[in-house]
Amino acid sequence: MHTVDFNSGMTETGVSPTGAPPSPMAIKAPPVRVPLTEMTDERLMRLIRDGDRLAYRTLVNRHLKRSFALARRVCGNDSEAEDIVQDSFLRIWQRRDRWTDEGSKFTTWLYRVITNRAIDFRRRPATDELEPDMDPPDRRPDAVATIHRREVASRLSQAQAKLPPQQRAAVALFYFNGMNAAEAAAVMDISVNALESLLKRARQQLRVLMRASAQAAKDSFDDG
Amino acid sequence: MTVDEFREWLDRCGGDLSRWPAAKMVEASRLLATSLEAQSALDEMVSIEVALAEEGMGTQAPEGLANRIFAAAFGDEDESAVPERRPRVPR
Repeated sequence: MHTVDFNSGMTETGVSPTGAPPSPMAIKAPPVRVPLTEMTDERLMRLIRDGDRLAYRTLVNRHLKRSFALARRVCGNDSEAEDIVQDSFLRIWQRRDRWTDEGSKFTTWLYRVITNRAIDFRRRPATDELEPDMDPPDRRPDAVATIHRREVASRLSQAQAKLPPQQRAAVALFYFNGMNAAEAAAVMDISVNALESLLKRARQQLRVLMRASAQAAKDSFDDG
Repeated sequence: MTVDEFREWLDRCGGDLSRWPAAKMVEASRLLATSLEAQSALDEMVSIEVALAEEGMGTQAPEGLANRIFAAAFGDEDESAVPERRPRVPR
């Protein structure tokens, strides 16, 4: 049974840190206080299920940045990524009473919701899409290396935009989120073999697109 | 292993040879010792993968997004001073 101190962001569990049965001495000792920021996602979700707003704030703040980055990478659009993330976290609060500890990890569930929404966005007809946000080039004379990296990143971003949505999602989860193939497959709800096949085709296509893009840039330079 | 086979395995397993099946890693290492083309293909794949891993690392969530989420979730008056959605501006 938890009681949460809303002023300190701590929760009292009454459980010995060692998990040992309480001794008479332990019963007299003050309960163990665990900061919300140190709780697992699953434990926070149990508090959220009981309507704990502080636990919800902790969970949102913990995962907001990475969730937004994932959505942005898959859908390629800042504004849409923001909507996807806001709706996904809102669903957590609105449907908190349905949360169960059984089944997948919280992050697997969260990233699945975000990835599926972002894939749906990518599948819309092109006329529905806004222009992707582009970084302006840095022209400072002392930033040659930075310019080169940004140009590679820009070409890579354009190449990724040409990947089918599922390949793009596989690449985002595997490379950016640092998941292994099994974890990424669980998020996408596909087999590991299917995930590896998506990655293979994505690598192949990125390699071809990057090479073509580099050649086009070289040709343009030579012509100028 | 030919250079084309090497490229096929690069696409399948990526540029980190330690993730390749052991026998293929040995064959690939032999090829890399003698083939500039294979070395170039490996460099190409590694540079793509490094860029993929680094892409968006500095991405920040939009300003005020957390507050908008809390306001939408709780609908409280104390959340009413939430900033409007940040307008989209070219960066």
